[in-house]
Amino acid sequence: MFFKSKYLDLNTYLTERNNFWVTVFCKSMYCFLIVKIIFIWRAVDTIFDYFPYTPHSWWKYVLYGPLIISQHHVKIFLLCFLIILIIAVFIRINYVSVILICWYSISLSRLALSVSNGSDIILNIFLMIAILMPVWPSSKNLRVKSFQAHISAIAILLARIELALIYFISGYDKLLSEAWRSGAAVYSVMNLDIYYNPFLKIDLSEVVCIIICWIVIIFELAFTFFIWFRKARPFLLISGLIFHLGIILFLGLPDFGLVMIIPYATFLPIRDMPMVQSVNQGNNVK
Amino acid sequence: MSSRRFNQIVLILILSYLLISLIFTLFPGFLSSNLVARIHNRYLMPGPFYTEESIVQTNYVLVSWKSNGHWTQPASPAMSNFADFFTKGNPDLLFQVRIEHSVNSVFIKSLNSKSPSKTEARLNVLKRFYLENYVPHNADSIRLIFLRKETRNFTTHIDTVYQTIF
Repeated sequence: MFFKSKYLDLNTYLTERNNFWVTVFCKSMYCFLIVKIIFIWRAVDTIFDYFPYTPHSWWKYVLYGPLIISQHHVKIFLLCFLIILIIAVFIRINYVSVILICWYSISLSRLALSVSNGSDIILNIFLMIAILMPVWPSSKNLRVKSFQAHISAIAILLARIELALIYFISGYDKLLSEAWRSGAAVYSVMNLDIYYNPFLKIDLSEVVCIIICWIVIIFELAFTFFIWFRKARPFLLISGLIFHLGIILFLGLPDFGLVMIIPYATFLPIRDMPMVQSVNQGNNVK
Repeated sequence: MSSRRFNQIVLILILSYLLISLIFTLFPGFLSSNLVARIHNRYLMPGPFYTEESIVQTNYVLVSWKSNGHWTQPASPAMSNFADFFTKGNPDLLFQVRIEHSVNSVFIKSLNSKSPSKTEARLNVLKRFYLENYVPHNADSIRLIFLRKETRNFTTHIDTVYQTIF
């Protein structure tokens, strides 16, 4: 009986702990989307004018269902999405809101495909994973409730794997690239007139370019493998934060930088609660 | 279903996803016309997002117009909007740069297509874009110069890809 009650306490704690980081992760994405909608608000008419989109097949009507609203008025679609997001920020993470937001976000990405970049794909992948994260409405049946918590924990693991995969593919691609290995990539990036901040142009020597390139390659590959070790985690998360803030500052990609920082929430370190320690001690006594 | 069995199924699903992602990403040509590959590349592709080609090459357009018998200096609206985005912090400018870049890219791609009507249609969209957004109404003629800037091995080359006056 004692161990059963301790197990239930631990289960509740883990569920609550997961809930906290699920909330931080999901609501950060929702806040990002709110800001994105506010920023895209004035440009959306121009986007729709030059790149109109109408679904042509039944499965596209299903996938981009919310865009049916945009056929009447594109801003009504944005307004609906904005209202859903604002409500979702203030209420508990639940199955209905995560599905709706994912659906709307995929539609928004399609609508604004001409101004999209890697951040849209990453955001939508994490929103899809987030569909599995809620534990509310929770079942009264203990087994079902435990199953919900289990699925939520798997979704968090999946989000972590996805982030590691993104870094691995990016690092691996750079490692294969001659431009990145020789340092020329940094020089090329600094010469991208409509991507690189013109007010931060610095004359870098070839050696400095090589060092920067290899730091990026090593960081991306190291993140993939060492993020799973608790001791390396704070260092990698802080390095990643600096890396992405650099992208925001130096490149005209604030959305990409922010979207890459948000999933860090799933890796944030958590101090063990005394309750967990006591359960461990209890197991040792046993 | 037992918890152990369920965990095994989840593990297999996660490993399959990782395998599919790695195959489609590291070997982009593999089954590229396949529906699974197309869905994966459109919605689930975890990168790489900024490949060597995309950072080495950039296209932009210089615009100048003739009014009162004089041509203005060719200038890039995208570049000036991008610089203004950093000084003014107005996100509208960043979206304007991205829209312009997309309109240009679509046209540049259509230059390689075998259908002249498609290229013509893209050019008309492009002309409309610059007329509506940058060129004053009293302009008699407009000149668009398409440039490709390529930076490889610490050296930069700029080539004119296309030029039109209307």
